[in-house]
Amino acid sequence: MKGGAKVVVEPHRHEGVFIARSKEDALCTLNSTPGKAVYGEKLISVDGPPTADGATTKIEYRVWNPFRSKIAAAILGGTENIWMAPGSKVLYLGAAAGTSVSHVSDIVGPAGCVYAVEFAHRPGRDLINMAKSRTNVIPIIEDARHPLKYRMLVGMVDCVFADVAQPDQARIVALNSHYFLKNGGHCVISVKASCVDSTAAPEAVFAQEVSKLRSEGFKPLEQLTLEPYERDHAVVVAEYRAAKKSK
Amino acid sequence: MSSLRNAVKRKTHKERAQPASRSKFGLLEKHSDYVLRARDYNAKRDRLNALRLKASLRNPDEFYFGMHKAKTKEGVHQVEGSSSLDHETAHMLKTQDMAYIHMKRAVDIKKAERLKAGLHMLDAPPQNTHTVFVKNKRQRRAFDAAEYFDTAPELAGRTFNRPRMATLESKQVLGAESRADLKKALKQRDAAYQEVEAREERARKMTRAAAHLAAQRALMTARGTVTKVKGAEKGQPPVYKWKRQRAK
Repeated sequence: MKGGAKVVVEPHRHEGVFIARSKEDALCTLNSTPGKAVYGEKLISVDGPPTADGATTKIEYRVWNPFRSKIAAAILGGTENIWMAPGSKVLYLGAAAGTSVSHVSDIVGPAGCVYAVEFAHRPGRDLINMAKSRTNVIPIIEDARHPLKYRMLVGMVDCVFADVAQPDQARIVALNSHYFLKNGGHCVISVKASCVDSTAAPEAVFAQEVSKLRSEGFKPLEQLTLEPYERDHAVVVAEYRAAKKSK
Repeated sequence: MSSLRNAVKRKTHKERAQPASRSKFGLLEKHSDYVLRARDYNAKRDRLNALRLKASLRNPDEFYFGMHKAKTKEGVHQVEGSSSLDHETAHMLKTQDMAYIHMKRAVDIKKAERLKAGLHMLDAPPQNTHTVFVKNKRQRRAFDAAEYFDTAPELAGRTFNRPRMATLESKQVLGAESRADLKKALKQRDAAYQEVEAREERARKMTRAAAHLAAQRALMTARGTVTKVKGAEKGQPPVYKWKRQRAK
């Protein structure tokens, strides 16, 4: 998308995320590989503030599709904090082809790190190809149910994101958190109601998942549904082993 | 006798095309194109004049034996209608119609998806439910959205982006300087939203048309007595029931 004078890019409350208003009404992240799109998404170019010697810089952003990515839908849904600040380490379970992972990698920047876990081989191939051009993404083609199998690749992380769409996802997240998530860290889980229990009402399923997390040492902070981007989906944000505040 | 004209190359004049700024008027017509158009027009005009002449010089007492069977309606000769299609041909043509409808539906859905990748409905009123977990009833009563999100009170309802106070103070908005720059782009955006809506509506219509066609096709191949169970309602075709018979 051309035209520096025809786009307005406003910074989002979450660092590293932006909103572009013009011909398109889009959520976007700063492109760490300028000029290249990862999965055919639109690129937005804006004239940046002029540098000290008066030269104009061009800043490039990549559009983040909330209809495909649960994190983007949660951000536009108004979550208070995604806990993926620049420089943080993120464990991403259920990375698929790496479309969302590339955006998280843009957010955490070169100082941060994204450990992307995906079990299926075909999307895993795309994930590895994407990771070739982004040095802060570590692709792990392994089953997230057995974190011990990739324990030598992952250090302590600040945030765990899970989009695994499995009925036992609370257990998977808890297991990975016990090994890799720091105390006081956070987890962001995308829950698909029909995946966990297709017969129960979505509200009941979300409440059940929250209570499962509580029993594993998580303190839920917020829960939001992803309408109008997804139906019967919710994102739960929780704190892990929060430090007890002395009264 | 060879002359210098054969040896010295002359500049070949190339045909000039429509300028790019006038490309919306199509191909630039040359004399050869005009001649084709004029010849066609004149031929048609002459043919019509000849028919008018013949009609004015008609003999009212003319008779042909074909007039016994021919039919006229209000003085105009009615050409005999082609015989209706036989059953199998009709069934096959309906299958082709079904494939066409499915194709058009898929085209609309894909185009709508491609457009929605860049149009995230930011100005729409929020439709989701956001639950915040607090410690006790006292905190629930004292809950304030602007305080929880650390934002200005007038931005508390702006779901898609509630900038923190620190962001409001330090970061700046990049890009266009004035609303006038953006006006054309915003108009295109509104048009794009309407296109998404129109394409999704048409995809829904295609689905309904496909349902009707599928019902018709099933009825064509139904054997035995057919009973109507439910009438057509809410765009769905009527529901019929028949006993399944083994084709021998």
